[in-house]
Amino acid sequence: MALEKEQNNFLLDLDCKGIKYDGKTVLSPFHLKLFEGQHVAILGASGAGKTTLLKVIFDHLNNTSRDIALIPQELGLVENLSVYHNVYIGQLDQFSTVSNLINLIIPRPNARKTIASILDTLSLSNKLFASCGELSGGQQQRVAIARAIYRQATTLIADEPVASLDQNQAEIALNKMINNHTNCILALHNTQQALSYCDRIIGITNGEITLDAATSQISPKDLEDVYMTLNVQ
Amino acid sequence: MYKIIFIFIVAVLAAAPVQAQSLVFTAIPDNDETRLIQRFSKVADYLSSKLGITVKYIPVKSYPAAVTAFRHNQVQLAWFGGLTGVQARRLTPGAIAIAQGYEDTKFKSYFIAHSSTNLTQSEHLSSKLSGKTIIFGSKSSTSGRLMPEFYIREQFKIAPDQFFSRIGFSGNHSRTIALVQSGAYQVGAVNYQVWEQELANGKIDRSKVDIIWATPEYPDYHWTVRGDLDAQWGEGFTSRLRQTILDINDAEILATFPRSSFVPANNEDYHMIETSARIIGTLD
Amino acid sequence: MFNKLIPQNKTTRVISGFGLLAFLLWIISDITITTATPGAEFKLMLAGLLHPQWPPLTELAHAILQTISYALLGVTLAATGGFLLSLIFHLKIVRVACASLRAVHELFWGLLLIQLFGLQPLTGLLAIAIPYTGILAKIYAEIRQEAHHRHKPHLPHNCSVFSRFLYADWPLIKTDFTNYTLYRFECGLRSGTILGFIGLPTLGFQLESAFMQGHYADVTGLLFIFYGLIATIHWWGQFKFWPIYLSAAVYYLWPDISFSSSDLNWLLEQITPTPWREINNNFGNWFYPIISEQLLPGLWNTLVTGQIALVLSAGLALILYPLLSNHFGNSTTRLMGNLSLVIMRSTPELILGFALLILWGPSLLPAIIALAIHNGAIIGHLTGHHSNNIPLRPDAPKGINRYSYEITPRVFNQFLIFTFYRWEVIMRESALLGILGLHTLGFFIDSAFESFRLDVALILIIASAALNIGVDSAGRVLRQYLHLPKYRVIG
Repeated sequence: MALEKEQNNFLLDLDCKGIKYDGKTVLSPFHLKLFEGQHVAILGASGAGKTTLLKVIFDHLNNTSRDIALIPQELGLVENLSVYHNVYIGQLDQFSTVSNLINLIIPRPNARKTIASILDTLSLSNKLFASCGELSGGQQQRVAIARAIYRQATTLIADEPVASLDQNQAEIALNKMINNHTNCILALHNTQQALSYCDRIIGITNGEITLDAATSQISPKDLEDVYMTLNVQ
Repeated sequence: MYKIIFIFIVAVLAAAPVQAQSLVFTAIPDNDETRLIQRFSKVADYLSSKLGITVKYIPVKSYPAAVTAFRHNQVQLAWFGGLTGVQARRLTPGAIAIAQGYEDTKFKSYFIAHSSTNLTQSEHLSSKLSGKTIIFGSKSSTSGRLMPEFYIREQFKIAPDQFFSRIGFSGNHSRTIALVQSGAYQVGAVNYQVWEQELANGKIDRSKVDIIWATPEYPDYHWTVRGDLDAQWGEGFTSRLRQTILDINDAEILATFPRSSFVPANNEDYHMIETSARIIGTLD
Repeated sequence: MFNKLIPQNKTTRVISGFGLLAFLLWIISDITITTATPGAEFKLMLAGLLHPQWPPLTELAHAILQTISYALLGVTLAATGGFLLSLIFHLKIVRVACASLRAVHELFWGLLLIQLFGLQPLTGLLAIAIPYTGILAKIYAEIRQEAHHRHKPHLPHNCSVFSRFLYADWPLIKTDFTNYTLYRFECGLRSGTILGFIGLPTLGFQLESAFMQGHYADVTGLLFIFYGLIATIHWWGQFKFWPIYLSAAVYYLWPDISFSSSDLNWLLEQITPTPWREINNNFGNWFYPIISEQLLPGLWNTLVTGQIALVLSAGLALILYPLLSNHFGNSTTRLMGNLSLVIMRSTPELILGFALLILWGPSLLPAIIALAIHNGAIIGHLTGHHSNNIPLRPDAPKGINRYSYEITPRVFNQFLIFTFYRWEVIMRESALLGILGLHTLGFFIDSAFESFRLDVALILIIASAALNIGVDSAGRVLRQYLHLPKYRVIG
């Protein structure tokens, strides 16, 4: 397969027997191999099973104690904390509990500088100490992205991370994510973004992987099929 | 579950009091307020057998509760302290004192102090008491509060809350002794009977707590009856009741109070208690 | 320059305000351990705790039956009255009346009613029924209102009010109504128990006597019975058994119930201020010492106790809630946590306060700690349960990081709502604990009753009610200031 030409290092070799929920099949059985250094887009209509697939991948990678940055669809922000603290959560495991507690009251200068600069590139620099609950949906999404970037993990798993951003912001954010993580697994809605930023695309229809190919080998027709099947139902 | 409900119902049926015309009395002893029903039922049985009517005992928690029950005719005969008897007779027109304990004709209170105060027994209340902490008994106790406070005011011409640095009310005499013995309070005022009894029971360590002053004598506990007893039980009932009480010589019954015997008393015997209560402001 | 010291964030501002106030009050108030050797008494308590004992069965059975009967009849009366009042709760006068009824603690109602009825069942069940009517009217009205917001059923225009209620309202509110009424029944058992402290023949009567005499083994035994009653209430207290219980309770209490209208006249006369009863008496001369020697010191001590206890309760709740949150520990730690919280919040504060008073002597400290333990456990319990509804990211941190960065910030608003809701309760109880001998309002109220100055007692009770109503509205104002939603009592 073309995908295996350049890399031989597996990030993930996953043989899944399918996922059922309440007796209903959410994901059919599949076999998936991911490689180091790949930027993978997962495409599919809402409800196709993207989130479940990401969860399976996350759980599997997490068990191999890999260092992962995660952006779930519901973002997982803490509304009562400031933007700064929400981003800081990305590196909670890097510091002692005591210094984390102190940081809640007195922000650590270094962290503050780094976080401010990340927020700056995402046009959020003026929101450093705003409470997260007061932000708009798009701003919250960028805070979650900032948290993932601040985590400085090699692998990023993100579920529709730019869904509420306008085109310009989405491009900046995707660039940031791609450049800061060796491995990216992104569930996306927008096929154009998938084609421009990722080197491999996995399509899901009704819980089944119906497409898995390098971006260069994909025709627009293939992508249409991924969505068409669902629309028919 | 239904079985348990059934048992519950049977328990209620069994527990419900039988409605019958009976004389009800209450008593709060100086000491040991537990198992009251058990102990005083013997007194009730004795009175029943002598008077030929049903006599019931109900336990009452506090002096004011006893006074209130008396006023409401829920209790017709009561063993009151000096002050509570006065209060009860003020609130219940016609009520009279009929008998008191032999010891109550010359009752007294002890002032006791923790050894750390270095106070010793003396003829008068020492002025070194100033600024100490003091614990009284119950707020309306004659021996635990009224008379001690009266003598404090008489000696020092000042209200106790200005003379002492902290004032507490223990609610009962045994606790007063325990609190001074443990050093929670430096000084305490206590019923002399309870002191003697606890001493005999070995509950007092005189190296930690001891008497520093004994008050002059005053009248205390006594039996009071409502004024309408004759109307309800027939002419002469009140005197018959009084005689029955005076005749008690059963050691077990006397020990319940605890008194060696009962002697006659009347309302005038308690005049000095009433005056003292007015002076310290407990009565208007 | 001082502007910098005032926090920008509203929540931080309110919290630091409360904290600072509590700290200052702690410094200037009478808060110390006055006993020289509390250890000896503590050993006795511990020994009693390990060897529980029970009073004779007949005495015990009566105490239990009296407690349950008061709670049952009191709550039934309150539910009936509260339901009727909830129908006209939109009238301001009804709302004010209900607020006043519930602002007076059931024990103060008890002290007042003893004067009217003496030591008989009417006193106990009305002492529960009167304040609970005020509470239930408010809650029932809120439940109905909320149901109307959720759901507007389509009914024919000309159907009667009664059919409208049966078909459109009742099905919606039935569960909330019954759940809350059962919860009140549980509270009624607690209230019935502590009414024994003022002389009614319930479990509290035995508890207080045992405490007074230092018979801690009896105290422990009685407390176990009390916990047992509360813990199994969902099993034996179900509504379907109520008709049987009610008839049994009426049958049981009936022979002791009596009332004469002359008692009412007497009471009305006694609560009329003395100067108005006697001609040659100057109102000012009578009133001024009451204000300066009883009302103001009592009010001050009540406030001090309440404010410090509120802050400590809140702090304790934040420490305790993880004990039963699904996000921390394992099933064993949660079980233990649940158990200790149940004990902490079921023990009436009056009993806790009594035990601590014996250990530490009569400063405000025993009251403060008793209130903090009881209310901290309640707020902790509510917060812990609320935290279970929070979904976490799969990569959320663990341990203290999870506590400080994830869960606590998320439950914080809800935690504040619970705390403000307890504020009034804490204040009411800090007045009450004066009965134990600490100089909060309850001390002066109890003293007034002991010397049969009912006019003074009434003035002090009104003062404590006014304090509670004031705290209640202050809580409302703060809730609005912080944009916190209204607290919903029913989970």
